[in-house]
Amino acid sequence: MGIRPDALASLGSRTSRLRAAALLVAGVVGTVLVVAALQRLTSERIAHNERLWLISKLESLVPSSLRDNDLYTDRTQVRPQDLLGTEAPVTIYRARKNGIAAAAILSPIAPDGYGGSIELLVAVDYEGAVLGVQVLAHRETPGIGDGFEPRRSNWLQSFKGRTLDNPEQARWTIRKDGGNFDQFTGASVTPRAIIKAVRRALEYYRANRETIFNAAAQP
Amino acid sequence: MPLPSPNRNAATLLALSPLLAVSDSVINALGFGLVALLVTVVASIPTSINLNRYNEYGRIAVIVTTVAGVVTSAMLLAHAWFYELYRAIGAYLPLLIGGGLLLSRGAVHAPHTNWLLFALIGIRSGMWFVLSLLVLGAARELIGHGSLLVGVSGLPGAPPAWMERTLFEADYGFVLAILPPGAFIAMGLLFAVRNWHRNKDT
Repeated sequence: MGIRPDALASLGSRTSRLRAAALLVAGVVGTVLVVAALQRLTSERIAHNERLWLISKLESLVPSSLRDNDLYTDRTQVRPQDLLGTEAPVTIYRARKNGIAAAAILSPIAPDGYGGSIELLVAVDYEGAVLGVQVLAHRETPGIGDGFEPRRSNWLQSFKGRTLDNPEQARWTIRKDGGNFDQFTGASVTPRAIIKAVRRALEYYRANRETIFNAAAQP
Repeated sequence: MPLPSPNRNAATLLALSPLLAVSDSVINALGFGLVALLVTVVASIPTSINLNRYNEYGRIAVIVTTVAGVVTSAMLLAHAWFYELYRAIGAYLPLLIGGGLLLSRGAVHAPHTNWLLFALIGIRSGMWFVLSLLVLGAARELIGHGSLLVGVSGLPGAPPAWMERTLFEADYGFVLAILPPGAFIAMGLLFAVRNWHRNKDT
């Protein structure tokens, strides 16, 4: 695609072409600067919004009767490699009442979702029973793979009260695979991924409970 | 998006299709449409001022950078000040860049110098766009979820929750309506209606 000769000619003299080019460069640079400035100006507010949102999620997972500490700041990071679905550090939020460990919220990843990784929050009480599960981020197919969304169903509630032995290990999967958990119609990859991730989070918790609660807070 | 005349390039039509992802419910369509409108108006100002200086290639550069800059700014602002809305439609906002470029295709060939005229044309295209999105959104939400306006209380200005209507409990609804193929089908139906309306007048 060459430049048509008349395209350049239509611009007029060399001076006006140079001026137009300079203006274009200035315009681009200006746009970039404006966006950069805006990014600086909004970054704090954005971080604040994200933090508030996360805190509301955390607090909805652990009933306030179980805790009197600041869930969000009393957190620590672990590097579990396999069990929590990622090699990156995973944050665990601790809930305490009167200084005694009461519950923990892990933030594992289900790496084998249909559309990629699913970020989860899994809350467990001290004994290791699930208090609740929430999905923070996902790329599942809308209408099919997103049946876990609260606006669509109560599926995530079916984790409440579960432990590593309830149901027994072989039944920690979807009904189609001989397990106890429903799958949403037409989707099996997504529920399988989430169920597996929740179970592994429970396993990690059981194996590392004391470390989880004794580690210093790293806000 | 002015529903295209038969002369318009079919490629333009198809290229706008990612925007259909955002019309799967009234709320998403409305929120997205309003942002699109805003972007169109804001972007038209610096664009129109400059266009006559450049030939076609220069104009493309100006339009691309302006639209990209305005949409990115809109995303940042939404993320900071309209967080609920951003959670709902934020992932789709970059599509506006593509859409904006296509809407302004005409400006590459025949730019107007009067920025007000430019802005008004932009507003008109934008309004058609919002309207089409709303119709699509309502139809798809109705058929797909069996509801209308669910989630409206999350929009800025907080319209009251009674505006949300669930017409029927659809465990699954007609899922096709809320998936992308459903968007194309709905779009096709819209065109059919429009063509029927046109032809009946002649």
